[in-house]
Amino acid sequence: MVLLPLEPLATTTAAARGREDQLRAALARGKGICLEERSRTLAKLSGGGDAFRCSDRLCRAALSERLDADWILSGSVVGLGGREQLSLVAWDRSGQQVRRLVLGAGEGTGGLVFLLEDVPAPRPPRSRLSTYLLAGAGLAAAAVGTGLGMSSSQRARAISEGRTGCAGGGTEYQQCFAGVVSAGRSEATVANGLFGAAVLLGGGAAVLLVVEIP
Amino acid sequence: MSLAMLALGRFFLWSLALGATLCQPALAAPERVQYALIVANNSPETPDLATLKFADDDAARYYELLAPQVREAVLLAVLDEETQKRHPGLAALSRPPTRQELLSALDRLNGRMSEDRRAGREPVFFFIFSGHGKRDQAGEGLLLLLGGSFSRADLFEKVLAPSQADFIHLVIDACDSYYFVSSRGSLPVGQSYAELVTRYLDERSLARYPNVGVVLSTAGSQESHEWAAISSGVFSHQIRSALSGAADVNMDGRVEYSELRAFVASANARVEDPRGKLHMFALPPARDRAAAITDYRRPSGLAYLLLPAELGGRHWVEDERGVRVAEFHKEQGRHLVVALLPGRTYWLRSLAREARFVTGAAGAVVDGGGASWAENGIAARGSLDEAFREALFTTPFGPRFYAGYVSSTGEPPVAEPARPDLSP
Repeated sequence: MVLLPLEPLATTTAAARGREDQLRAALARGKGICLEERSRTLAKLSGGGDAFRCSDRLCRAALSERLDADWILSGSVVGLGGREQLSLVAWDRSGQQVRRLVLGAGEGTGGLVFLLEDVPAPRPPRSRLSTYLLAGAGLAAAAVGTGLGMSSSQRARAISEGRTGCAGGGTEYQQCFAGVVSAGRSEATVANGLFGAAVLLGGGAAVLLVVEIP
Repeated sequence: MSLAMLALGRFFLWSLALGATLCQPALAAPERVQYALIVANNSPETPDLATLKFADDDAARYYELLAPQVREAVLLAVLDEETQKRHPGLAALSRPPTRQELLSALDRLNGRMSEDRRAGREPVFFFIFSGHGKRDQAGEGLLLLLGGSFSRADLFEKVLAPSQADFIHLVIDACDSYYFVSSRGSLPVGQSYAELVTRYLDERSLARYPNVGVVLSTAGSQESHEWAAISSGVFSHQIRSALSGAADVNMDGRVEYSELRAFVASANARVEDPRGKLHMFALPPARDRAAAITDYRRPSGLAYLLLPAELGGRHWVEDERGVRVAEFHKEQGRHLVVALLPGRTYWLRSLAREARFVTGAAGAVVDGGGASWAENGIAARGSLDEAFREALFTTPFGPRFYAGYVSSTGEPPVAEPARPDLSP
């Protein structure tokens, strides 16, 4: 989760920062919340000015992508009526799920439970082992298929050039010749199958590379 | 006792005194207390002036806006039947808008403000009038009360000169209101008498009262306007909209005179029909041109609607009674806060859609960003003869308009808005 610097409304920059620090401390104590350090967030935001407001899902999603955040928490410290209140907005990585909350000065941070209810726990880093295994299997299938295909081609050339290696005549020659042809066909069939498997395995590896599977 | 011991003792005492002084907490800013006197009169003095319909409504709405913010609000108005239905219970709190009641209220409020000053508090006084105004034969401005009038001389002698307020904010929504505060032209009399009258007029010049700010509905002798669609005077509607927070362009919780002027200018920027053209004269107190007319950082009995920066366009806030309490055309990219009565149901409306919300307790903020919008089923168009009102609030008001406005007028702008802390 990323907490953006809170905007001061009818209050001072220092007061807003103070409330933000309190909020940050409360979030850090929250179970299952992995809050990014402020310095890291600021480093990612540098050069983008202080306008973190988003008016639509695309903007929210783009900001989530830029900050590489599963959840973004943004808002204002509002100093009206003699007290300070937090007006908070949280959205998920897609920018579609948006939650809002106004937290009064005397409410503590209990209201955050409502805001962050059912927020998924941080994802563990995704293992790429399955991707590598599929890719490797695909490569192996392609390699073996290539070898068998080349062998089958050589047999076909040998047959056409009369270099079957079969001697003699009659039934014995016919059986030998049939064996050579059968072997060549088998090699070609297996090679085709292995090429098809290589394509499937390679495609599967590519899908796993770009798509997250829980 | 030796001289050395005496010197040491004195040094010790001096150090104690110095330490005590340094350890004293910094003096707190004096407490600001506010009072409001709201006067309205629909009925003219003479038959040549038409009876107004909504001066009493304007007074009632000013009362609702200011009463939660002030220590005492006095309402001098005769509310007509419709207004009493719209504002139940308010008639019982109001007194007739006569000269006697006005002077009596001034005396009592000045007494309270005098006590405040003795107690070290800073009193602020709002004097608001809605109704008919005219010029007398000498060209001096008058406000028409019930059964009498209140002249420019009365303003200076009865309101400004004896006032115990630290700051006075005059809001006058009446014809010829400019002449109620400003003196007329040259004097067609002999020199000695001219000297007397000049001195008289000088003593009745705003320049002698640097604690007074004025907001007047006309810059000259144009007639003020009433807007039947919202049961209010156009000028007062815009002033209340501004003072409810819609004019707070830098979001510091305060509405200054330059913000109010710019807000009204933007609201009327595209009105070309002379029937709908509104002119305003506004001058901040000379003593502090950045003095705020309203300051919502202070505790009050109001609740607040916070509109997100991404919301833009012309909107208005209406309550369950159909009273349009505030109207604005919001620039995208900035927040906007509207002060409202607590515990009430309101609708935030535009021409195309509306959203219902309920304000919380006093001091609570409602997040307008979470509003659920629905198509606006109410026809927003008024009658044909009010078509010239449709150009109102068609220009967005915000930091961009404000910057252009103060640049054109040459006046100093409000402070820059506070920014988020981007330090590590």
